[in-house]
Amino acid sequence: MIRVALAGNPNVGKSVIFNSLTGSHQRVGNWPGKTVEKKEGVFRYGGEEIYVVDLPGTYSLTAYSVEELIARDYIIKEKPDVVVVVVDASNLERNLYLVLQILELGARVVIALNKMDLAEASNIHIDVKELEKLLGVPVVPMVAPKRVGVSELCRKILEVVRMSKRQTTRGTNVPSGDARDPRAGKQPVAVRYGADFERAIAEIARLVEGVPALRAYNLRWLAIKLLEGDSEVIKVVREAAAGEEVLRAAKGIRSRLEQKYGDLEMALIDERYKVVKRIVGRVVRGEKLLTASDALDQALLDKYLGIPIFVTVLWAIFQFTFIASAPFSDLLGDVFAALSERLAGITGIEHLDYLLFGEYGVINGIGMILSFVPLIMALYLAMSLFEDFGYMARAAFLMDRVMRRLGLTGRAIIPMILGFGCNIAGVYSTRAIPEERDRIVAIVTNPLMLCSARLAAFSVIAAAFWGYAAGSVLLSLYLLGIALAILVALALRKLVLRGPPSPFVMELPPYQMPSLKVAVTYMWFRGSLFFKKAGTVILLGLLVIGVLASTDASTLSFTSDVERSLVAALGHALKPLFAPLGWDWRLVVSVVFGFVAKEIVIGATAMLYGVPEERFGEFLVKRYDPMTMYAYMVFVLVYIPCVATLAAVRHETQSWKWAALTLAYGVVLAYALSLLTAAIGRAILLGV
Amino acid sequence: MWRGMKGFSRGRIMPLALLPDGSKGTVRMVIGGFGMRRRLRELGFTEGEEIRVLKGGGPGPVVVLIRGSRVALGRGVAMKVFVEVVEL
Repeated sequence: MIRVALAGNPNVGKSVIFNSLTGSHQRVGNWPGKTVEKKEGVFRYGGEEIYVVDLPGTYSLTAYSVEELIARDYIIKEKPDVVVVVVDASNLERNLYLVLQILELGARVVIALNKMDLAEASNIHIDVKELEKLLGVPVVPMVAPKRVGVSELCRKILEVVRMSKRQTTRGTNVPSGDARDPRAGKQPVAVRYGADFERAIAEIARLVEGVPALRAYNLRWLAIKLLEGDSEVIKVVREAAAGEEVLRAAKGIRSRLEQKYGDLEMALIDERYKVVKRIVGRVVRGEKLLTASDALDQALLDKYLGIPIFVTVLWAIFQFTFIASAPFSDLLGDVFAALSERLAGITGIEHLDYLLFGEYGVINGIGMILSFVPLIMALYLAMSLFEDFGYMARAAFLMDRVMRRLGLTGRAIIPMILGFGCNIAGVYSTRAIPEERDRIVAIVTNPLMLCSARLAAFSVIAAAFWGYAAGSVLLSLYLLGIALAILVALALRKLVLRGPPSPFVMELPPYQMPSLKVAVTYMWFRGSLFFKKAGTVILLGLLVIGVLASTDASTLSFTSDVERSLVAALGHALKPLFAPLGWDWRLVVSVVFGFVAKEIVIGATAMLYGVPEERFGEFLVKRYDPMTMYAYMVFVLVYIPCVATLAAVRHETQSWKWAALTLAYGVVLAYALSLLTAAIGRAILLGV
Repeated sequence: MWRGMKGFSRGRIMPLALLPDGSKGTVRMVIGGFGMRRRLRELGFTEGEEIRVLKGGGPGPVVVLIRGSRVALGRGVAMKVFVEVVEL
């Protein structure tokens, strides 16, 4: 099997190319031990089976961010047969920097020169033959969304693999399978750095060549990294026999050069860009015109219009999400409800029957989880289209100034917005935040965004108690959630993750027509991932609650009387704790249920009271005063993320510590706030 | 603001954050921590490189055109990139 890695800057159309190569034969997972998404796929071309992995999009391979480290390690350690570097033709200068670094690694490279149509449209003409000659690797012009160049790319991949095999059998190759000779003389002239640097690189490469343990690496790359003083590479060399001597000699060469050029890591960046400028000067003709992109930015990033436009976009996304998903959600919920009704009693064992087909049994549980999938999918579809269009980077830009004051980065705005749909989606989308500490703040505060599951519960209560003012009551809860998120973020910044959010540096990609295919694929994978991940956790939780609610507290046998169940016992035991809030044991139990999934809170509570769900609102009005219920909603909003969100927090932070913290601050804040709300409410109502 | 405006002349070296929309300059120096300096340099902010301010002069982040792409910099970062003014 031929192994191919796809590399490239962000926003160059890597995923479109990945999709056109692999079709539906792809798998989305994580890089081992990392929270970075890994996409793999297999396809056949020219009688060969070809495996493709999509490396994270990066601007460089310096290995200072997780993404860069993953990409670099994969190329060095897994040694893919071919690295396809996807390059944005309309932005050659920025993209060639990464190309040079990948060439330095000694990988066999094929360049996919994507977005050729966009380049032509903005008056940039590229001499592809000349570019091939200068870089010494095949270059395939492409327009990926129209599949232009896809089969040519496959052909080139095979060609490069076959050529390298021939070289290896003739024994002219470096043992590692590197196609490139380490000595500077064989380097294509155009990608040679300044004479002083090349001399130093050649000198160090000769030293390294004498160390057998290091021959597995590309010598030129090792030499460059030793010159830069790369700590990971120094470690590798130190561990090799006779490595210390090499290091000492390299250090001498290094300090000689440093006297003239200052810091060599910086100097080498300059050298690469000099090479880039030289190449661009020879292959690109035409001055880049100011494009429609710039005109659009004038409006979308406008000082006054920018944020109102952003709010409108958000409103549109949510409208779309709820309207588009509602019929599917209802249908799925109904089908499964009908199914469990039909199947009820089929097992003959009362207890099992209850767990499988009961109101909160397995079948209904699957239906409930499935009915959430359309919502998640619609949300992802809309977000992915705007992301692809290039707007999400602008949203981060617009919000950065405000968010920074609140201890968050501008990039945290997307997870917050998704959180209003579903906190699980919100937490997973924090991956786009590059800095670890910024990401953790965004993850931990995300459950405070009032998700649609809680909205479902709150709208029943709010409509019953406040009628026409229900909207304002709900809005107050949304705002409370946001305010608390800000407080928690600020507290985290003060106490745990000290220091301001990392500085904002972000490329704003040119706007482009979003690809529906990419968005749909993304939506599908995200939706099924949600179903699998969240589904398992929610289903397990429902089973536990089912068992608790149907097991008699004294005899431990089946009971259909909830009042006698373990759940009731639990509620009674916890009741004193909640007495100051004015709750009875049923409300206590309802928040226990809410840990599994917030959307079952209302249904479950109605069941506990033995009142049909349609008339539950009126019932509550008779039984509780508005402030107690408002305090109850405040509690449900804050107290604890649902179990699936908690699992997502754990997964994305790779630590139980942050999940535990998220849980702890929620419970403490919720209790304190609802106590306060109830007390203030009673004081006002009773005029005390 | 007025005192700042007096500094706006060709050849003056000033922080990128202070340049108004549409002005052009040449990168002269980037200050700050090593990590940030390296990151900016890898994004193409090398000495002598020409930039054009697409959105700037305000209290928020700025957008510049550098090496053919648009890069947004937070105001804090933009204060640390020193630019020789070429055109206002």
